[in-house]
Amino acid sequence: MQFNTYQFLLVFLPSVLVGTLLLERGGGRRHALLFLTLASLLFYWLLAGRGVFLLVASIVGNYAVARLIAGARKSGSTAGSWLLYAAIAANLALLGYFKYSNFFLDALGAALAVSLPHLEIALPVGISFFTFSQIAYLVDVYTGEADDYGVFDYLLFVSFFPYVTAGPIAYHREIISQFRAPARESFTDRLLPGLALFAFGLFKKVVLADGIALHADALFNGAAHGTSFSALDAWSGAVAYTLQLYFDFSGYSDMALGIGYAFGIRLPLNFNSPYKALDIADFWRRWHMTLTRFFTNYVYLPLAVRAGRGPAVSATQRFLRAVAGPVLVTFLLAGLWHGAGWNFVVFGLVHGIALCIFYAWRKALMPALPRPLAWAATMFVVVVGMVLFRANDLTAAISVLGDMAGFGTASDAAPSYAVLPWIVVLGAIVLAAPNTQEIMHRFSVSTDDAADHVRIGRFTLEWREDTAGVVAAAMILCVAMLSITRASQFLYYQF
Amino acid sequence: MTDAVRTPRAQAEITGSAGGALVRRVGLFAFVLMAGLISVIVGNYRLDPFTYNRAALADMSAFLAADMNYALLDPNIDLRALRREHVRQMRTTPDVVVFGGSPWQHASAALLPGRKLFNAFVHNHTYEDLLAITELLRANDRLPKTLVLSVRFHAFQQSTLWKEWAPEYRSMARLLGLQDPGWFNTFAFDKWMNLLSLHRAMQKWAVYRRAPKASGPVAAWSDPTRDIIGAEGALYFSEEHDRLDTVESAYKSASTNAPLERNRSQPLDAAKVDGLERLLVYLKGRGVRVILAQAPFHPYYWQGFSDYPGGAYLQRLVREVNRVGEKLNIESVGNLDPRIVGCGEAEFRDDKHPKPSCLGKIFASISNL
Repeated sequence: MQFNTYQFLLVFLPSVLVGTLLLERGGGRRHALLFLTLASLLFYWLLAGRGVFLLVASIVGNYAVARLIAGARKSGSTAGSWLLYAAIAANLALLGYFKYSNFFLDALGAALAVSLPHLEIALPVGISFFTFSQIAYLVDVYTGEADDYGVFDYLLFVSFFPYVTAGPIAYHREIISQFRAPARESFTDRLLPGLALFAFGLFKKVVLADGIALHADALFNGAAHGTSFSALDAWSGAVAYTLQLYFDFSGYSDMALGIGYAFGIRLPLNFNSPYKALDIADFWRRWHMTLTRFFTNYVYLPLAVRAGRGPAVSATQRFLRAVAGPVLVTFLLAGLWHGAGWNFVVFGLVHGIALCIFYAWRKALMPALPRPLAWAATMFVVVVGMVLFRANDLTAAISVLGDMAGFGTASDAAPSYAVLPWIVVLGAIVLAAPNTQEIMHRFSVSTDDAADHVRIGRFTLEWREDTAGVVAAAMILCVAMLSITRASQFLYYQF
Repeated sequence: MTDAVRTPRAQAEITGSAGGALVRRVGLFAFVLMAGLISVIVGNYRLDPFTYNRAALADMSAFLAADMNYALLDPNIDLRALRREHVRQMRTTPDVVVFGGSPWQHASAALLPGRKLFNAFVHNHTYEDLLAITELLRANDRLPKTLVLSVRFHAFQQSTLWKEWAPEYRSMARLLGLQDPGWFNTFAFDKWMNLLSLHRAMQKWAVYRRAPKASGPVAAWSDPTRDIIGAEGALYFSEEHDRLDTVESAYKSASTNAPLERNRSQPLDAAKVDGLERLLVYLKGRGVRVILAQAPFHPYYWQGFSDYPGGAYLQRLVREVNRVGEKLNIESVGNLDPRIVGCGEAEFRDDKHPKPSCLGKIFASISNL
């Protein structure tokens, strides 16, 4: 049961909203949050079946270890660090088993020139997300940045159904603090803005992302089967996928934020118009922001700080050691986080190298590129990265990149004329229109700073909770619901 | 969890002062949403009577049972629902029943002169359909002397289309001693949820708007613009439709689809193979002569498909089905390879759909039919 299914839209979500309303009115927020915890576990069970036992075991295990780490910290014992390392290793081992076993078997088989059979492993949905949010919690407990939370607070924090499957990767401190504080708005005040935000997200997913997906699929499925394409067709398909992924994942994130808001729990932003970025560092500050935040805080910064502590060296050596090295390692891991395949490794490397070049350029005080050229250079890296990201494997990715470079031959399997209208319309939306949180700026829908309004000419595109706004939101939700011809999986569910 | 402190505003809501605003705004939101959803549901229902309206299907079936043909604006109807009504209204038991997927859609009465044929083909037929059609014929006392069954592409794949026949499938599964999956797992949710499809409603509306004639009974076997379901259940394309299917378009379809589909493979489901064997045993026990038949692919499709995992899967499936057949002394005819059947390029509409002349060669190879 995903957000874009009728079971969720017509049964699950209305039931949980009504249940929450009744419990908030009758027994206060505590009862409503307990109800939300049960609803979240039910949601995960309906989506992942027995995987819910793994989720609960992971939560209980991490919570127990966190209490031990907190106890060791208070008593000044060194056991805390060992417990932390062991717990992180156990979390990564679990993730590695479910996600990377067959990848490592393939790599080992290739090294030994033998064919090793794959393990029959079903990847529990969202394991990458709930593993990372819990690793962050363990580290914060160790460093004393986490309070003592009750087990039910922690259970809801990890399993909260809007984000358990595909993020945003929330921090305990920004979520659990909301469980403890009174809701900032009454149910009445938060229901419709939450539903409006949800409607925008669902529309982005089922109308825009699923609409352009066919064209992207035609290119990448063709490439996976050895079909070659003209440069124009290959570029069109690659750009189509770039747009598809944005509308798919940012649509999901909008839905998550909207549901969270309706329940009185603000979530962190995940997207902020990434395709408007003028450099690759800016892109990563706008794209999958909570993942970038996690890798920055828990991988990049510790690496960079440690590397910077060494003896005095030349500026170039210091750059390589304190910037380039950590950046490459971080992006290599970020690439692998996205998937178990060499194409994801290369995806991470491409972005890591691009970021190193950008930082070196800036450090050398080279002149800034003109804005159109800076945007084009950034998007070139992004689109190339998306090809690596989407292709079935590295061979298929190289084939598409070769076609984009003009080495392919024309095929009518993925004609560019069919996708160009989509690219024009969706491109105009991502480049010229305000993003969802800007449209919803009146409501401060996330834990981040409120977005400001955006004007296009004389018009301010913003959602208001008046008659026109309510009717518009209902119509958008209606069109989105009527466009769900089949439940296509969110692209980030696979991670 | 800690108990929340209620803000003055939240408190005001609880005491009811904000209740009116909630009702008004949420009511407006719900009204607009429901009005939109209901409009499309009603539109789909009205524009697609041969999928959703049992009375319309019964009406159409009455003409088919009276040996009239039926011309359709749009052949994308629920064939399973139609077959159910048709079998219920049949006046005599057919001599031969053909059941398979769309490759058999053109198996017409003309291919079996002097015998009463019922072509019960449905789109994307699966294992569950094989059990269901048997039950449908059995329950209506219409089991034929000869049943030509095709087990192919979608036979052992997961699908929801067959769920229109869930009552029949569950009944036959119980009869064969197989597990009954229950109502909830077999209810045709997808079919009914399609009523909510705006895209579908728009497509149907476009067909309805440009159609020069309405659907209805006809005596003829061809029509300039409307496809026809024959009295024997076969599909006859309109002249307009026929003109679109050329040798060139068939070649294009074959050469495009083979690379896209040739790597699709999956393991055979042993439980379903066992269920198929039980079904064949049951049919033999009822005195039905069963013939396992395979329709060929377009030569260029087969050339680009047969040596890949998808082709290997299909050939393994056919071998397995034929092995079960041989064990029960059941005849197998036809082949996936068009050269073996003797069908040329010109005898295909596209990559997977042979023309009547090609299907006729398969029927001709059946002894004493």
